[in-house]
Amino acid sequence: MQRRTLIKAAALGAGAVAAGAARSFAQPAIAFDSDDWVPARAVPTILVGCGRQGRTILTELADLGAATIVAICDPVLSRRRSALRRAPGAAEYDDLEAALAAHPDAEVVIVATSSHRHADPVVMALENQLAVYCEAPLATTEADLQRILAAEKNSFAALHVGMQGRTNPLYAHARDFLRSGAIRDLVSFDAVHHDKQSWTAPARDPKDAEALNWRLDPALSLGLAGEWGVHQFDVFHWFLSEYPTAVRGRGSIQLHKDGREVFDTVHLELEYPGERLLTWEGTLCNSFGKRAEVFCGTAGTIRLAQDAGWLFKESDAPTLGFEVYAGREHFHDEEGITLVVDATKLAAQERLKEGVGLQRSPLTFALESFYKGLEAGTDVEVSGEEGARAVRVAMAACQAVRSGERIEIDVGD
Amino acid sequence: MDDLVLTLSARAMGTRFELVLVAPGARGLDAAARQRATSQLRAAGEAALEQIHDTERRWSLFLSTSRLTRLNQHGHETPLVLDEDDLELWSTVLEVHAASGGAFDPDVARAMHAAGFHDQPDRRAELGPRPELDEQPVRAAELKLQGRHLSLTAPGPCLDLGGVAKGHALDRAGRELSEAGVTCALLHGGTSSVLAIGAPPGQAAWQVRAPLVDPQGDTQGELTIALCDVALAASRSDSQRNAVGTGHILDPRTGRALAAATSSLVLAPSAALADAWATALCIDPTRRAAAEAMGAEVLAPSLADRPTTTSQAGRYEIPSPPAPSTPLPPQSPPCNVEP
Repeated sequence: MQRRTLIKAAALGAGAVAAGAARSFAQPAIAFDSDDWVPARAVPTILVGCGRQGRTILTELADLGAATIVAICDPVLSRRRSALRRAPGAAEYDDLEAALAAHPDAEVVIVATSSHRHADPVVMALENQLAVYCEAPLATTEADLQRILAAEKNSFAALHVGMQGRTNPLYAHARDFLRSGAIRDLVSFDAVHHDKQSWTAPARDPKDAEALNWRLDPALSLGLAGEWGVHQFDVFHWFLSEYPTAVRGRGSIQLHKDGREVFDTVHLELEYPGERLLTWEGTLCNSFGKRAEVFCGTAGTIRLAQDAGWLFKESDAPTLGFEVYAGREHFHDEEGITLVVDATKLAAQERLKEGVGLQRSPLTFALESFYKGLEAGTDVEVSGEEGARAVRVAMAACQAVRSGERIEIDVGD
Repeated sequence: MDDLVLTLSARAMGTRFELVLVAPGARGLDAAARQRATSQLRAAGEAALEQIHDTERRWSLFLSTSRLTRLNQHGHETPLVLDEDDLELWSTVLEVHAASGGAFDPDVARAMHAAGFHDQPDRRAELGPRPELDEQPVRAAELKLQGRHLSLTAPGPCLDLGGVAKGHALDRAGRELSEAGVTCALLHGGTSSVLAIGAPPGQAAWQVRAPLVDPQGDTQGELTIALCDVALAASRSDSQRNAVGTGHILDPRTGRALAAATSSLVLAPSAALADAWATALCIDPTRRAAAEAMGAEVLAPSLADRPTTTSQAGRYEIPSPPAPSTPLPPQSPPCNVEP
């Protein structure tokens, strides 16, 4: 069934610019070739949720050129004002319903509200046959997941969940690499997300404080496992084509002893078939290592860190060929061979060592995947079903941390 | 204690940013209320630090994913669409460039790279796939700002916003703090860019000391500058040196190092403007009038030019320099900030 409602429209001139006198000064010249996707047009888009992530999305969309933000929605005035600095000319509304009434031309809704409030705008947009990009986690309760999946099933519009690993070209490259047997048999996995911050949000108006600090409300938030872990759990789901069957966890408050109940440090052990474990640690108390996923195999280890990745070979591993030409980085006494997107092409141009790191952010690639899919009429790369599976793992992890018990995981069909 | 004082810091743009935040009038608050006030102050500070990190993500020469890298590599094909913050930054860049007669010019990445200032193991400049590392800039393309669209008329720029980005980051952070209701704060990036919001409770201004250093690197006294709702930038051409001893501020008009060590100290309504003019006046001190025409106030256009008068309007005071003190090493930060 073709579920895309967007049609390829007349191209908006890529070089179109607003009127105004040009100011200029001289610059030097070097050449660079580009394989970037150029959108056929800028799709009328509504953003729901103008917090930090929503505002980041606005910046990325401006670079992508795939969207025209016609409206922004958020009940908090200060957030709308901040968002309007990034989307000048957009109309502002408290909620999506008002925006939809005023903008019947809108074709896409991006949902970046607090996680427990994703379901209402996602369902409303899908019922109005508007394509939806929803940040992860898709929801925080099974009831909301069921509402969303039902709406997705009954809609002709697409739902893309913002789990960025699946649309990150470096991760896609590493996945192909891993699945080709480059590190042989997988032994164990681990992932970390360290970011020293309080998880509190400033509220100029005290009446907004509670709503803005939903992450610290255990009744609303899945905690670190739900907000951060869900993205990394999905990386392992995608790489392994397997889901964990059970989870154990522990949590504690190590730094932010401000009366909060949501743990600032969480450790998880997720059980995979074959007696393999994924260990995951998230903390708000330390920033070392930032965010990374590690796959340990009998012939080597792959470490991924969003915009960079490395292969660490075991001493008895066979030569793969490409590593002779690849760049290397040293981590204490380990040597990491840098994983590079389009390595073959770059090698042919003798530019392999230049290709370290992504040229754009993982979020940009996620948004590009969404809009590109809409334009081409292809299936989304991160479906609602995969989003729901990741949430179910996160919900089980959250339950394990709170109860201290081993929780069986059923990710659904 | 009458006031809550919170200090937060972050590493960004190859330096350390620090925020000193004050919530006046905490006397009489019970423990819970005090905890809430502290949490709100921390939340505002973290949001401000996020603005600094976001500025780095957008405009760092050393990040492959930054907008600056995108502009350098693809600006001739696809214009960047600027938001309000970006527009403020690039308007400042273009206006100071024009007013300084090219003394301020972000087109220095190629020359900086050639001079060895990018040879740091943890900082890899994204100059493009095949940069031609000539010392002399090649004036072959134009940077154009039309409405909100920033583009290049031909391929090949190597822009580096090192002379203005820290100030821009402070401006964004300061705005975030103000929107969160913070009325008293001092922010600095690497101590050379400073932004004062309000003044400490019971005081007229924040006190900032700036040492005066002669061409031999010896301290010849210091300025104590009082800041209130104003930005300060200090620049010294040889505060960083490459392997052969060349100072890190290059003249973009020639692509070469300055003949002699210079420094500047500039006050301005925005930290980006102060930063840009501090850099420009290090290169060409004769542009002082142009800086002042844009609202900047030049405290020390060169090492030999020390202010001796009290500034107008009572916004800040410049006492006479004290007696010479212990010489500072050449790479000492140009300002010492005292909350």
